Formats: sequence, structure tokens, C-alpha cells
Amino acid sequence: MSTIQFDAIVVGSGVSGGWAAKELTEKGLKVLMLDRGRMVEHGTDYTGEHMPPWKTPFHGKPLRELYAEEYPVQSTQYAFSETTRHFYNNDKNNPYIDQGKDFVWYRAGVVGGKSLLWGRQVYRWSDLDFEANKKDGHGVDWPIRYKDIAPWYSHVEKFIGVSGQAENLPHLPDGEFLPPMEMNVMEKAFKARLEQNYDDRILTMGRAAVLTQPHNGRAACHYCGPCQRGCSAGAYFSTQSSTLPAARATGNLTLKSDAVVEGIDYDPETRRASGVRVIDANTMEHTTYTGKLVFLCASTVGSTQILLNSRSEQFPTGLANRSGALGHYLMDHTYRTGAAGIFPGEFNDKVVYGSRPSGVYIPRFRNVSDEDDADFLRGYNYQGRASRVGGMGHALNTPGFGADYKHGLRRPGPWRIRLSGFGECLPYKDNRMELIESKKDRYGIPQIKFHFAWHENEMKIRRDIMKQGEEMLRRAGAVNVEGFDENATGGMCIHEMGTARMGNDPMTSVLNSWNQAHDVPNLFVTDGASMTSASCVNPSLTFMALTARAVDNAVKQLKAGQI
Amino acid sequence: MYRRDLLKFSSLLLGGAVSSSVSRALVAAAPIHSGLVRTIFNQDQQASVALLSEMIIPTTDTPGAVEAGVPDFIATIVSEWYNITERQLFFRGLDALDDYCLSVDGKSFRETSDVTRLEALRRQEQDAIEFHVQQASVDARPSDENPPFFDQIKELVVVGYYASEVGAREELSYLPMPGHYDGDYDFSKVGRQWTS
Repeated sequence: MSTIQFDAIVVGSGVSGGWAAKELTEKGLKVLMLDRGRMVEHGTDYTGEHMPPWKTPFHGKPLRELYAEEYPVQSTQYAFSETTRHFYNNDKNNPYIDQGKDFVWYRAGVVGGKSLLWGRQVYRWSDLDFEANKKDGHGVDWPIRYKDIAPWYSHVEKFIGVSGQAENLPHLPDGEFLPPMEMNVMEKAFKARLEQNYDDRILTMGRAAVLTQPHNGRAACHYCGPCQRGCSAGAYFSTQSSTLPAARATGNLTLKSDAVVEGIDYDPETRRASGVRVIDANTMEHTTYTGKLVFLCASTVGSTQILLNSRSEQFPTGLANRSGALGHYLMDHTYRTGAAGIFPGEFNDKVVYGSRPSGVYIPRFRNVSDEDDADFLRGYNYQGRASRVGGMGHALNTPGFGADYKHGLRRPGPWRIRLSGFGECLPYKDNRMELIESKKDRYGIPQIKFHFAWHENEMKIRRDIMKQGEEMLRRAGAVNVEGFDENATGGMCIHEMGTARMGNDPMTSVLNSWNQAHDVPNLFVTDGASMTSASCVNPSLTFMALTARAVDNAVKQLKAGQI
Repeated sequence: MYRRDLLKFSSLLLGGAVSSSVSRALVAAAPIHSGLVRTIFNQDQQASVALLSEMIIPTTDTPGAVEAGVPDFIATIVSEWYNITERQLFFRGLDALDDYCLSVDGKSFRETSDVTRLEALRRQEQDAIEFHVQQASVDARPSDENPPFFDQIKELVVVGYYASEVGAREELSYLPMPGHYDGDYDFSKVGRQWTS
């Protein structure tokens, strides 16, 4: 057992951790960034990148026995394949209780975390989101408003590079955009029809942390398609492509992979987090690291697990948990519901060239004005795309065999538009995670058990997503329109949030307006755990902005001698 | 080595009646079985699989399934990827093809005429269609019945072919590094689906 002193310790190296490390090191602090996963170096460790289908094991057919045994949760995620498996958590080695039952916990198993695997969609939240809890009484009020975070959105966007189209919508604020990606010919037609048919709806290009022109030394997208395999050109934002090189360039960063954080020590005399207890995943050696600041960025569930497992006389139910809110108010976006339809005979002579790693977006239109007659609170957006029916599935669905079959498949099928809804989930106390003392993992850390269900409001949102989606497609001329409502287990959207929420009142929230623990001034949680509500808008950009904002304030407090 | 095996095999298989596109493909310089994969097929089964591959995706103005290495792919999947039930279904399907052909002219699937061979596969396809109609009519009740042989062989040939280098590059159009995006591109400039 040894103790090593740093100015700041960052736990986790994903979207939030990478930002914390970059900002802290650039402000001159000596930083230790810890990740429980293996090291992945930019480029050299992207072993699935540009792998052609014929080089992929079994032509891409899943390794069923292995997945059932070791990846029963992760293998259900769309980006999981033999080209990406090396980035994912091994569910057998790192399990939770009742895997996949109440809540699906998708997690990476490498440095860079889910920033390597994410969907790259980035949207600013607005006061429609930050005021929502106060307005309808669900959850507690956010301690910040849009004006508090807006400059930090700009700060983050300028660094990561966001391609997108300005739309001047108050409830989906514009950002610092690089040129948007291009809609295809069918999407442009759908946009015109949608905006003609509805006064309250627009179609805009997806706002993506993917570069449409060179930016900060990173190359523009070359449209090969599957970003999740890693991009050695650095065209999409990840820790490896963006924040890690910046943090390393300062000379102030120590990065330790294979470092499992067991818990955080608390010193009752100084009222500070006094040490981060780490287990080496390979040697099982225990080390305690100390830092003046501790930033928890280990993902919503991961950070909360560490806090729940950090018990002391002063905090018997988990560090900084005087409120009892820790582990509760777990949220995700409702997902896997929407509508799809085809447009036979339209633009049959047109296809796309290149594989665009973003889609189109219909911003929230429900409950934006007070006059809306929706039978639910809050709202949803759609993310989708138009594409020609084709590929392996189309080949298998096409009857017949022989020369005519083969030659018939040379032409793609008709254009199809699929719209997928992302609905806001309210913060409920009974949607929660807990640690089960009697079930420990291989490090001796109690395993997590989730209790999660959609409530009536989310079910109403799901129904409306299908109904409105079908109607928009039909009115645009689609046929064979079908709503879909696939398995909707919580966690599947991978937008988990809320289990160490921010708030004004230390009796009902864990963190203050600066992502600082009310009761432990040198402890900050800046990942999804800190979110007070879920919005319907993708949250990663907000995690990044909150992190940069929290670092700025923490370092000011540190320099002023307040921490 | 493999070419000599192939020729020996082809003559054994086809006898004197070498006229169909299937036969032409088999004598083309392409592996029926390269000897590089582990396989549980005997030579007759491997020959049937090669014939089936070429019937489903034949050689036309582009290479067919045999030249694309599909029989090897199928041998690998059936030997190493299929579970016992799937494997049994697959072999039962091969047997059913033989049984039909034997009942028509006393010759196995490998030895019979192109016409009989085609009819044998069409019958398997018809069985699959009827199976799916039946499946759809039982009120979404989950069925423990296994997929028909035709679905198995078609899936194997399609995945084997279109994800092969030959299928991806020569039959479809493979675009690993587009460099830019154009959402309004004339299909006539490429003339084929992109490899997905």
C-alpha cells in the first residue's frame, strides 16, 4: 500500500473524463486520470478499422456461444461486432445482477470509454429543459439555466468540432457549427413536404461531432461509415482523437489504465475526499492516490457505484449522500419506437455516394408551447434517415434464386425513411440502482442491481412517437407505413443519467450548481450522474460542457484557497 | 494441388454431360474446396454444396458463388459455427435433395440432370414458402420449429457470396474510402448496389 499525491484525480476517461483531464492539465494541474479498462492507443489499436467484410470472422456472423457466455449484454448493442468487441465490457468478468432484466447497462472496457463507440449526435439543451422540473414539479429544480452553460457549450463545440445547420429555434439552440453534412435527395424531398404539412415541425441535418472540414489538426470525415471501429484520421470526437492528445501535450497528465477504483476515502476533519483507492486489474495490487481535487467521470452508473461503495461513519449510505438521492432518479431516453415507410417510384435513379455517419433530426414539437394538447408531459425528438432498401437483409428477403435473382439484386430497393423517437423520461425515485453486499465481483466490490421501469408518461410518449411518426410519413407520400415498438428496456438508449443529481438543496440533491458535492467540497461528479432531468435531447455535449464549467470553477476555488 | 483435385472431382461428378452453367463454373479455375478449411463434409456433400451455391448465385457476366469461395465458407459455417440442431437440419436437407432426385431418375442430386436438380431445389423453396405462410398464420405464437433447409442454404450462399471479396468487388461495388459524400448520385454511374 502506497500513497501518491496529485493536484487532481480524474476517474474515468470517456467523454467527461477526457474533458476533465484536458481542462485541468491545461490549467497547470498535475493530473492522474484513471480508467478501469485496457489501454487503447489512437490509430494503432483500432484493429477493426476499414476491415473488409471478407476479412471479418465468419463474414460478420455473430460468435454466438462466446457472446452468450461472455457478452450477453454488450452483444445486443448495435455497434457490437468482431470489429468492435475489443472496446466493450466483458459481462462475465464484470457482471451486474440480473443482467439485462430491468436495465441494460452498456459499458466500454477500455481507456476512452464510450467516446470510442458513441453515436456522436450533439445538441444543446435549452431552458425548455432546464426549467422543466420546476414547471411541472417532477424532480427538483435544476440549479442552472441555459445562460450559465451556453458559453461552455461554445467552448466545447469549438474544440471538438460540430457539423450542423443553424435553425434559430429557441428550444434547440444553435452552436458553433462547422458546415452541415448533406441531406440526400429523398431527405430533401421529405423535408420540403414535412415543413409544408406542419407549421410546428422542421427537418434539420443531424448535429454531429464528426468533422466536415479539417479542424484542430484532425482530418475531415472520409465517409467510410462505421465510426465505432475507431477513426485513425480522428474525424469524430473521442478521447483518443481529441482530449487525450491535448492533455498529454501539457506534460501534466499521468494516465493509468487497468485501474479499478474501489472507493474514495473521506477525512472527517478536513471534510475532504482524501484518497482514491485503486485496484490494479492485472496484479490486484491496492494503491491509494491522493489529489486536492477528485473528479468522478466514470459514467453515470460507474461513478454512482463508487460513491455508494465509499461508506464511512459520516456517510454510512455512500459518500456525499446526506440527501439519500444517491442511486435514485435513474433516467434514460425512451427508445426503439418510431415509424418507417417506403417511397416506391421516387428517385429510383438516385443513390448516395459514401456512408454518412449522421442522420436527419426532427426537433421536439410537443409541449413546446403551453397550448399543446398532448396527454403527457415533456416531449421527444426523432432521429432518422432515408436510405435505399438494400444489403444482406434485402437479398434474403427477395424471393428466388439463380441468374435473375442475382441480377435483380444489382439494383437497390426503393427509398425508405425510418424515424426513431427519443423521448424524455421523468426522474422517479423508484428508478434506481443499489449495491448488493452479498454479491461481490472479482475485485471484492459489491455488484449493482437495477430497479427500473417506464411509467405511464413514458408509455404515452412512446405511443405518440409512433402515431405522429406514421402520420408524418403518410402525409409525405410514404406507403407501407408501419409504426414500430421494439423491446424498450431502460438503458438501451445509452443515455443513462441522474443518480447523483445536481440541485439547490443539499437535502434533496447530491451536487450543487458547479457539479460539486454539497458536503464534500473537493469532490466533483460531472458525468451523466449529475443530471437533474433527462430532456429528450442527446446528453453527451452537456456532460462535456458541465465538465469544463466545473473544472473552471474548481480551479478558481482551489486557487482562492476555498478548497 | 487444389486444381488437380478439382478437375478429378469435376469429372467424377459430372460424367459426360458437361453443358450447363453449373458445370462450366465447376471447371472454371475456382475452388470447390480449397483444402484450407476444416470441414465435416464428405466429398459428395461438398459437391452438393458447390452445386447448390452455383444454382443460387450462378456465374453470369460476373463470377458466381464457387469462384467467390462460397463452398468453403459454407463448410466452415456448418462445421464450426452451426449448432448440432442446425447441422442436422442441413444434412437432412441435403438428404432430401438426394431422395427427390433418386425418386425421379434413380440418380443422386450430384448425378442427376440439371432439370431434376432445379426441380429438387424449387421443391425445397416451396416448402420454405409454405412454412412461412403457416408461421404467419398462427397468431404470432412463437414456434419451436426450425428454419427450413432452403432458408439455411440461401442464407449461407448470400452471406458467403456478397461478403466475399469477389462478391463485394466484382458483383457489387465496394467503396471502402469514398472521401466525400454525395446524396444525389446517379445510379447509372455505378450500376450496382454498394457493398454494405
